[in-house]
Amino acid sequence: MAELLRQEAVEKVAEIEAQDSEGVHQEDRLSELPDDILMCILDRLAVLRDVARTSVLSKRWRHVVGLLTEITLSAADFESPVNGSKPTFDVVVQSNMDMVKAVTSILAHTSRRTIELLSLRFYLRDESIDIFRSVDHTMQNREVVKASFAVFPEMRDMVCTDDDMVIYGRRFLSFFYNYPRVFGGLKFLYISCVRLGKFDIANIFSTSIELEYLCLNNCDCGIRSLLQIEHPQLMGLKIICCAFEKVELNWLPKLQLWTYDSWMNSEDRYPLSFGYVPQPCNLRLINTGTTLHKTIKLSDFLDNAIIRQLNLDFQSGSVGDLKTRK
Amino acid sequence: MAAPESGDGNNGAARMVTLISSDNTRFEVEAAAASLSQTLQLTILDGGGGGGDGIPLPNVDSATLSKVLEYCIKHAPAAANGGAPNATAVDRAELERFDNEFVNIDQSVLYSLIMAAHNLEIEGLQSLVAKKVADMIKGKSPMEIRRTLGFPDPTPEEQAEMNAHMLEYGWAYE
Repeated sequence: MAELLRQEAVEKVAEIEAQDSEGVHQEDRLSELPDDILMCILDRLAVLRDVARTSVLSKRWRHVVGLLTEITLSAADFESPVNGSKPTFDVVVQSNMDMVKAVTSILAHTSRRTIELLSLRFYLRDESIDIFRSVDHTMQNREVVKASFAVFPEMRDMVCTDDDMVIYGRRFLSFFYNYPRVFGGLKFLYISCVRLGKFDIANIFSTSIELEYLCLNNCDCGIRSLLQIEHPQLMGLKIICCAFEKVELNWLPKLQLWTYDSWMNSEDRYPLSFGYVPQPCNLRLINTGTTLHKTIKLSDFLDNAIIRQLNLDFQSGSVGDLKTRK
Repeated sequence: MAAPESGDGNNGAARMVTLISSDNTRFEVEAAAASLSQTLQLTILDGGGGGGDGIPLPNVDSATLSKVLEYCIKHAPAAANGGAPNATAVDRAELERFDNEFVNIDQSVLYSLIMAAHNLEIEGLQSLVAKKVADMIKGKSPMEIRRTLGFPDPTPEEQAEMNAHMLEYGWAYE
């Protein structure tokens, strides 16, 4: 038995024959390294741009870029840093185009290897549809375990007008309706400054069935609209500065983290309600409210929610009672 | 972790095994150190490598093997404690210092080492050497990377191919 094992060990060692160092070019030596080792090296290059640079070295290295299992790219990586100031519109446009090219070229590889993480942050611009096209193609051919998209408006959200939100909303929906498969595979989604139709939002929830985290920042279906959510997988939900009059969490069996930050105040309605939300929730409510809104009586307000941790930040100070149930 | 039956605490009678390099040099080393290699661990657990036997490693030359073993001997005590948790900050700093110096070596040795670490499945060493090569690549232009990694200057055809490729990957070069 020992003999057998030893033999196996020796064979294992012999599997990949190390080149004799004499008379062989370094390049050859490097290119002889098995995929695993090259991957091991590339995994330690935190910046994907460095990885892409190596692909120019030889066919061998180019092939390896297709083997990457974690792909994290952000348009911000392509903005030359200007001492913390906001990027100008031209910079945004250029960086997003570079971002689109980067995603397209990296995903163009014919590798079949599972992608563990595909994390992309880009601007909500027309050319970004190529990102969706590439990812759609990739999802047809490769397993993508965790896909995470963060889509930002090309302007700062503070200066975003209603018209802008409508335009951004249309752009976003063109991505959604052209490439539903991509949305079907998303685990994490952040969107900002889009106005969508009610049915579109319902469609997004029913199509993105894998979604685990969703953040809506300054999104709505029109001022004082109603948002109803039913989703089987959603664990984390963040709604920030959205113009919904009310958010109804109708059926969210896995929800555990829920932040509601700044809602439309109303004199006679609570801004949210809980339907079937059976998991203990970490709830964070933040409102820099005015005196306009209904005095909140937490025990009514939180109704049948099971709260594990409650975080309140009400600047108007009109919290009724703080009775929470375990 | 595969600690040998006779730990290195009592009587100083730690179990030894013999490894034989491709050029037939015999290395006697504590089983605990050699067991950092996943490839060797099974054999050693099964009682192999003791006495006059020795485990032949036909793809690792003596220069590389002695370097590999230097790493294993240094890291064995920490590995026996199940990694870092019990180690004091001083121990960790000492290991880090050792690691940094350890990979400060000629590139041909580095490549032999990375192959050996891979074949012998010594995780810490693989990761250490891979990080060293990655650090050599970081933030450099393709030509700089070529020179750093000791690639010969490109032939005109290769240069043309590189240029075409750099167009496609323009985003990576600013």
